[in-house]
Amino acid sequence: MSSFYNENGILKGQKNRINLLAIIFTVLIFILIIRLFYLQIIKGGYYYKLAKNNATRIIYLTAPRGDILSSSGKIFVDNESSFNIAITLAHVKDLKPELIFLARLMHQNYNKFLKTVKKEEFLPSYEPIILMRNISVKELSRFEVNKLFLPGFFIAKIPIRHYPYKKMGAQIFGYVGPISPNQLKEKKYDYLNSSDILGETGLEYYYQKYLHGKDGEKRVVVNSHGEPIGKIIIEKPVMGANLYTTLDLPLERLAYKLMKKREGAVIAMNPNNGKILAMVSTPSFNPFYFSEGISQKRWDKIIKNDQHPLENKAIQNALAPGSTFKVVGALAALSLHLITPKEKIYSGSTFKLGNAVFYNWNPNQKSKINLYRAIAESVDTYFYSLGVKISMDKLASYAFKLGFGKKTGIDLPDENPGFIPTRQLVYKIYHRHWYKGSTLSAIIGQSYDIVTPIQLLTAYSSIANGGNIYRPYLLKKIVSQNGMVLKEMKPELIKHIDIKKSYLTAVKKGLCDVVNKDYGTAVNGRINGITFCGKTGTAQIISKTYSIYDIKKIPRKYRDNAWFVGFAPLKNPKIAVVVLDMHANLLGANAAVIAKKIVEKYLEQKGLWKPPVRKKVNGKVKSKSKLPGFIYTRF
Amino acid sequence: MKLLDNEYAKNFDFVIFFTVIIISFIGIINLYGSLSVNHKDFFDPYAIKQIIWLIIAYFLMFAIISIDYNTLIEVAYYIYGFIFILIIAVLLKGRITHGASRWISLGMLSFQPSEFMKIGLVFALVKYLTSYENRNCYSVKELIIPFIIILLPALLIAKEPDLGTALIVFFVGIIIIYLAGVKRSAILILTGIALFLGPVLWFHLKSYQKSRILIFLHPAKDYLGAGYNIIQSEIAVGAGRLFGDGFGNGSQSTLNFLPAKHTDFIFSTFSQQFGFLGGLVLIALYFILIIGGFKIVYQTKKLQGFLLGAGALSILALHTVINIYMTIGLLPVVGVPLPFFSYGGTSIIVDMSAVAILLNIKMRRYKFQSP
Repeated sequence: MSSFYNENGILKGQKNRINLLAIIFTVLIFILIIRLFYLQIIKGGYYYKLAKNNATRIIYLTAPRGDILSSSGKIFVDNESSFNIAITLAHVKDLKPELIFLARLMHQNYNKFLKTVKKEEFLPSYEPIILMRNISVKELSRFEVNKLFLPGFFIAKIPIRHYPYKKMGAQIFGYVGPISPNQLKEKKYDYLNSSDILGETGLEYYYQKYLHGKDGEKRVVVNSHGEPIGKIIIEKPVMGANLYTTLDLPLERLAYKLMKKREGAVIAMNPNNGKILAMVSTPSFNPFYFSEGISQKRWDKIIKNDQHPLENKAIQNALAPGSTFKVVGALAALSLHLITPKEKIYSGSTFKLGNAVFYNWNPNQKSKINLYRAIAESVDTYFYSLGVKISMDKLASYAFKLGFGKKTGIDLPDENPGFIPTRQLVYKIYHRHWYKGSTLSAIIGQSYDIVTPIQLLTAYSSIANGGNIYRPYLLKKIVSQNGMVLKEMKPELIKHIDIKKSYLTAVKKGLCDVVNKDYGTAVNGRINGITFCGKTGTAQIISKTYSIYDIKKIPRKYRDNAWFVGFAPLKNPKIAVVVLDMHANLLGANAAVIAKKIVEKYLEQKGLWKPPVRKKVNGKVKSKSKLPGFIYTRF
Repeated sequence: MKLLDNEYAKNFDFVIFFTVIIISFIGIINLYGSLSVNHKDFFDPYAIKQIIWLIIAYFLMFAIISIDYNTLIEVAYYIYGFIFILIIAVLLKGRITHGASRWISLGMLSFQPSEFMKIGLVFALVKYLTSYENRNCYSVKELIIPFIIILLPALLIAKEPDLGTALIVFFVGIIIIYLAGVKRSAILILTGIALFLGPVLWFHLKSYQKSRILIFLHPAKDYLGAGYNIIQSEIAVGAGRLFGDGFGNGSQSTLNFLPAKHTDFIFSTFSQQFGFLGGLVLIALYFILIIGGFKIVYQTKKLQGFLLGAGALSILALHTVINIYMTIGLLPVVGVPLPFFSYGGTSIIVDMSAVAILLNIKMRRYKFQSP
């Protein structure tokens, strides 16, 4: 034994190597401490937050959006509850089989679910992702029964928009939709989370910040299987502020009823301050389908509709104004002293400029007429003779004065500024030189000049109120849930147009004659006891001569657009209305009837006008009659 | 009993002995602190079993230091052979039951024979290398048998599959051979062979072992899958910050976000509760243990004691460093326990045996200098 030990001493190289080993391990431990310092001291806060979030499941409690109300507080848009299937990735054991199971259970496509999940992948894994919105009671019960097989999935109760009047005013109130990953990255939406919905168009978009409210949070401490084990901390959601619009509910309903079957827009406004009383655009759509994330099929159907239901035609649709634009020519000519109101000018059925022939709409026209009659009968040739004396740039400057060619500034997104041609602009945009004949077309509103209904209404309101252009607005006030007024809209005078009052009065008289003289173009708009003033317009889509066409034979999209814009009463006007009836079956004057009904309704509400007694008598006879009812129903 | 012999008792390394006691005591506290929130119980099976194993391990330690380590080297091949047979038995049993094949069950307690191979290998290798004169520079040819001694169990253990244990066995063997002394040419040739065999071995790894290594390189790639362990562990460690969340407040473990919170990731559990400062104290204790071990090995005059001690020390040091490195994302996750801290009877017995070997060597270091 002993020899065995004695032979085996330790050599120097071996001692060196054990020293090297000791140094290596010491260095390894030193690195370890540096790494610990990095993880715990430098990045400690970050990991601490991660750990706390890890253990806490956050369920966002979506705040109900504020209601959108009429000026008197009647509901246009409010909320109802919806059930949604959501998933928290962090608590899902095996995503694929669970998604397949859920897809089978709900008769949905598995790939669609997977896509939804993939789309939200950049989110922290404990944030819920909504897979199915607004499920039915049947689907809800199916989910609840099979909940055990779906760890990580849960039902999120989310308030959803409710539209008692369905399609009415959909473009004005706008629709809401689930926030998209791209929107979530935008800075202006940094107060939103992935399960939120937001206003996409209309007032919902414009006043999104106020309507949204403050989302609540439900924090539940869970273990790694997602089972709640700790206290539940609830931060209650705060409903968004209520939005009182300037809209008048009965008037809005009437306007929508009258326009429902047509394509176009109606706006009623208080000409003395810019308050919008009613605004509709038709055809409309049901905004409800957007709030749950619209299906591709529905979206295609809406987008492919050539009547553009999503477009708010009242502010986004710029069209040729037709004869309604004649007031601009009249005011320009008066201001430039080219005519006096009573000066009679010969106006025939045609007007020659060089080799070109310009027609009057009424081929029987052949007499000397003054301005009042020219407006009342909408005599084109009278205005042609003004047109040759005015340069386009001068005419345009008066159009600009009345607010055409730029946005009115209404509190809605995506307003169209329209277009008023000047030599320069036309050259710049269309690369065409201006020629005199175009001025003749422009003065009757049939050239490059396009206007939106809201611009036309603003311009006519300024004529009605003696030259004040107000910014039109839809918001009366925003009131938070605890009754605080967060925002209140005051009438805003944009400018006073520098046109002599006497000229405005002269034009007003012409507008009055349009309705109230028997030769006027809008006699069917006449209101008993009220001086309703206004102007018809018929904007051609394609050029043609009148009366040889049977209206029914023209393809719908080539039929003329009918305008009527007016105000009442003449002295101290209370309401201004514009009606755009696109591709109308009955031309021009029919739009005046729609305007008349709205004006009547409004003035009746205000107690300024009563329906004619004759109707009342009829009513009495009807109710007291012993005759069979059907005779009277045909009446 | 020789233990009570004055000559031995005065060379008993109390520093190492008490360091181990303190570490295992903190380990027990830590196990209690890691209990799930809804299973807080003084008679927690994990803690109780751990205490029982520790008591058994202390008895074993005294048993080992009471026997001269040279006598143990004499029977090294028997120890090695016995453990080798157990490993094969476990493998065969696993083949029959088609399950994981690491465990041998003895009623209430079960153990993994492959873990014991760490000790068995050290003895066998030391026995072989000291059977001849001290060469200090082995050639490749002379290293064929030592490598068979290392690789035969290592490959079998890797097949179980227990990559962590296999790697420890392999590295401990390599360290012993390196300390014994290898020719420079042999080092070059062996490195060449290793570089060549690396890719071959890679293809023989189980897919989960591969993914663990791949995920180690890109943990965020598979958050809920294989990368989950590393990320959750780093969160637990980092969340501890300077002072820690306090005893029993490590949410990552009490809420079961941390996988293997009692075994592989026990350090993460500890770190979230006691923070950077707690971690420093624990690492200091391990440092005392390891440096104490180095001192013993360095001062030993016999090659047997030198190599045996170095082998035992490598087991402890590699366990400590590899385990903590993998919990803080510096190494891929392989099953390696933290000595006296991780839950598990087998690993406690193995680490305690290693400590006992070191104490044994120190106690007998003057035996033949002053007969």
